[in-house]
Amino acid sequence: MKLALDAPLDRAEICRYLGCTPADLDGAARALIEECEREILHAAAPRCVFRRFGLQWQAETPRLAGASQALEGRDIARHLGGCHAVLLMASTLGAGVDALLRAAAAGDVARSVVLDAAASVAAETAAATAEEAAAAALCRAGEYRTGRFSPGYGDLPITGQRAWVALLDAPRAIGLAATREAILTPRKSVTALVGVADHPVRGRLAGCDCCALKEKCELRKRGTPCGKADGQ
Amino acid sequence: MEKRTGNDGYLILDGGMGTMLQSAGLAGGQRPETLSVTEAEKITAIHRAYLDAGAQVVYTNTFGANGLKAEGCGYSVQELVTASVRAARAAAPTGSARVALDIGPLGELLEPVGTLSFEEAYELFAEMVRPGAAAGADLVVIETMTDLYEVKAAVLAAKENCALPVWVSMTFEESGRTFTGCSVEAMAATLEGLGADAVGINCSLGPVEILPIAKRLCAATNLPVFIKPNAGLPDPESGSYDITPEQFCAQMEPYLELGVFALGGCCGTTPEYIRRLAALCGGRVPAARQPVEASVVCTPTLVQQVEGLTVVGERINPTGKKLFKQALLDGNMDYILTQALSQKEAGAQILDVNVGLPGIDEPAMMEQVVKSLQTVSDLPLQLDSSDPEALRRGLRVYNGKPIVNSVNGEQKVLDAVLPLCKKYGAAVVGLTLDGNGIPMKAEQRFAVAEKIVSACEAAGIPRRDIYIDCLTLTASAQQKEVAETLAAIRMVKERLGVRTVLGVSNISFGLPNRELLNHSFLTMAAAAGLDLAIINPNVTSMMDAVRAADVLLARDKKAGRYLVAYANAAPAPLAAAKREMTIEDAIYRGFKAEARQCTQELLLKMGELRLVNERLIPALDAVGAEFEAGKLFLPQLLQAASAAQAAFEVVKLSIASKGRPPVSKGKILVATVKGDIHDIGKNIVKVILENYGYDVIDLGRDVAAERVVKTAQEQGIRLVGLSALMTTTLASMEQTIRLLREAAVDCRVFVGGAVLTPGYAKRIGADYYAKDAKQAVDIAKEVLG
Repeated sequence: MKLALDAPLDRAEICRYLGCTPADLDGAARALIEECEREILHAAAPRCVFRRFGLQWQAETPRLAGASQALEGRDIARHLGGCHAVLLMASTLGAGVDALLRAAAAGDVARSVVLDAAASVAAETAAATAEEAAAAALCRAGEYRTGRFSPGYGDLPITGQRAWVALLDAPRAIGLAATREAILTPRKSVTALVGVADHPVRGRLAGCDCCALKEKCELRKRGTPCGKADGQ
Repeated sequence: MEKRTGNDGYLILDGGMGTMLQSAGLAGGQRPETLSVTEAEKITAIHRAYLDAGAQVVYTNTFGANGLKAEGCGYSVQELVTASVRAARAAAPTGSARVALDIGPLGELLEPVGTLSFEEAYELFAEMVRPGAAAGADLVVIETMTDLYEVKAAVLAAKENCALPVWVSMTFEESGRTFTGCSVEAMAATLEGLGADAVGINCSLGPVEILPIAKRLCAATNLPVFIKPNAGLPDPESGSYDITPEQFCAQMEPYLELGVFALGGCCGTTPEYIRRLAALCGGRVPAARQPVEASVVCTPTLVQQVEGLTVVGERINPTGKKLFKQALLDGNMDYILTQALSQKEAGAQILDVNVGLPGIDEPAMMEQVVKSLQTVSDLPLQLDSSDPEALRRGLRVYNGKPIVNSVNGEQKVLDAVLPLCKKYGAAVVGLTLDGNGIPMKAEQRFAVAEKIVSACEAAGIPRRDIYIDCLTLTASAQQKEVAETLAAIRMVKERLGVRTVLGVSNISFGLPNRELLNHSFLTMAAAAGLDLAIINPNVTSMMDAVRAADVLLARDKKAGRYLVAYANAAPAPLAAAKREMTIEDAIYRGFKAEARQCTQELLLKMGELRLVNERLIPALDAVGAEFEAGKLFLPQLLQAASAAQAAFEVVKLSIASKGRPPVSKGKILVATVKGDIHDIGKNIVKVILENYGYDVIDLGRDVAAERVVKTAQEQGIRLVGLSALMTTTLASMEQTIRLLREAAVDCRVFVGGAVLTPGYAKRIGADYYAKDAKQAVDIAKEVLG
């Protein structure tokens, strides 16, 4: 289904991708961010697809009902603890944003980098909207849900992208595929699982321990890990 | 071509396969195509149910039987395809109903959005076509496609590996575009060119939503058209479709007015839907369609109808351009891409592409440049070469319908080039000259044009795809012949009914104020009936002349485009208001125009090398130091880098204009490794290295290890920078380094990327780890000085 994506994007978040805060920037840089945000929103054709699966537990290991393989790793099992179902979702900004980013890469580098940051924020925003749409369509009264968990978080292998994309028939549904290296294409896309339970759950998003970036993460060094972890 | 007479009724196609598998309880976890092997009689029964319902064509159970999707299913592609065709043939013995070898999308996206190459896609499709034809399919149907490039790979694979008819249907959104942005008109133009036998629309939407798109398709092609809609739209929760057989049938009735030749169903439809559809069509004959006469060229996202003056940008051509020649010799695509983007911005509607230069492999370069251009620009291309092999390579990988520039009246040229244009569906430019040179008189040029047109028609190229060039001679040397060119244009237009094309700039060669003669001649040629004007769109007066001619010749209705261009234009300032600042200020604040201007002024006082070393680099160092200290941030650093780059361009032009070798501190090769498409970090590093006076050869992203090695060897590279963002692509980085070492390339390697660490860099054999662009510069200084 199509998703609405409205201006303005979270500009503080765009700045975070660029390694600064809005207060650090002068008028020219701020104007550049606003212009890039307009271009991304114009090029984006956000869409999502989602499906509900029962969750089968074999001891500590969860598996989507009907899927051939269990969900790998300790972190996703902890995240889905207490859940009896999941919402599997995928969202994308579409191929137009990729085309814009490719053309920009052949030109001014400042614009190219800021466009990329704005697109990343737009992709996150679209994923959040998709999650709400999935919950509205597929969750029943009295159900509770966790936050989103994606391949590459913690010790859930990034290679899982391919199976999730296939389960959602995402190439046909929204034009989203995964490469053999498990990169989502178009690039500004998200796949995620949301746990569903009949009692309040918060999920346990992966902490820094298993993160591929842990050795060099600036946010972690500053003691403000990326905000996705819930502190547990 | 689908051979049917005017008295033939409708051809009824089958309905959904997946729907039937589900209701037979056969859609478990395995690939549905394996059922053709394990439960062949049940697949045959599904086909038979459709035939009993009135279908005359059944699609085999091979939608996803390609090497990517079928990997690990336990059967080879050949086994799946052969079993599936046999299962269909068992229900439809030869001579009764037709069996269509069904080919669906590969499931991965092709370059440039994905990493699957056009050539790999071709092989995957060919792997299905060969056993499908051998097992007795009657035709090939390529369906549910959203990417025109993937379709082209599939069509070529089908046509080059079997002799069966090829039908193609794509899947559109209500906008009439696919997910990849391909319009129904681009599909029509490209596939008619490639020689598809029928085109159509299937899946995604129901009959009501597809109807307006089907109308557009019928208006855009002379090919037979077929439609297979879904049973309405799916329910997001249950996945079931929302219209009944009765509703489907009622909604299909308007299609009988369109002149489509075949109808069927896609997802959610069953034999009951097809039975009602067959009853609806029974005894009726498809309506006649209007022939399509328009001349178009296209990319997937942009269809350029040639109607009135159409601007072909001439700047992608090394003739007389030192920087361009150097870029070609270095294999540096950036320069060429910049030329494309600036022409597009100036108003070019088609880009001429000429990469002929002594000392380069023109066929390989043509292929590479075409592939690169279509990653950043949506303008249709005009492939310009006298080498048929260069044309063939470019045509094969071009995504859409291009123009070939050119043939002439010489028989051997016609014989070599026209079959290529026919096979790859290109329009063609015909120069009115032959072995005896350029005829002086209009009548004589017309005679050559006549010969070219009849040769094209004999080769199967319709008149609407022929562009005759009546040739511009120089007014200084052959003043009287200017009128002959204009007369020839009129004759060709009136008597042959083809389009015309002219390279304009040659008119003024050898005279002062060339711009004046160029745009005056353009206006005269437009009045004579010129269609394609090959010009430099970056020259304002030329674009002005184009817009004026369109108004005066009543092609720009109500002067709409003219008004857009000029109504609100402020009077041009005599000179841009100059801000008084030093080059250091301009770079620090990221002002490109001022950086250029300061550089021009400084070059009056100091040499290029001193300017670079004493002013530009220290200015950048100052910005870099503030960035390191946390006083400036990435956006500002990059704006400064862009301003410095603008200054460097002025320096390079100055050096080139004096005919001196370029200032360079050495060449550095950079690439994002095979499988990875995240190149933003690499792009930042490139710009900063260029700022410091290094020549950077950027191979782009998803670059094969072999290409890195080959380029490093050919160019004598001493420093290679590799980037990868993903844990899954670090293996490619390791392999690239290993191949560089095995080939004994005498170079150092630095690596960078989000998931890399100094320790990992060391482990995979890199000489350096660069955490950011600043460190890359330090490494370059150490290795190259």
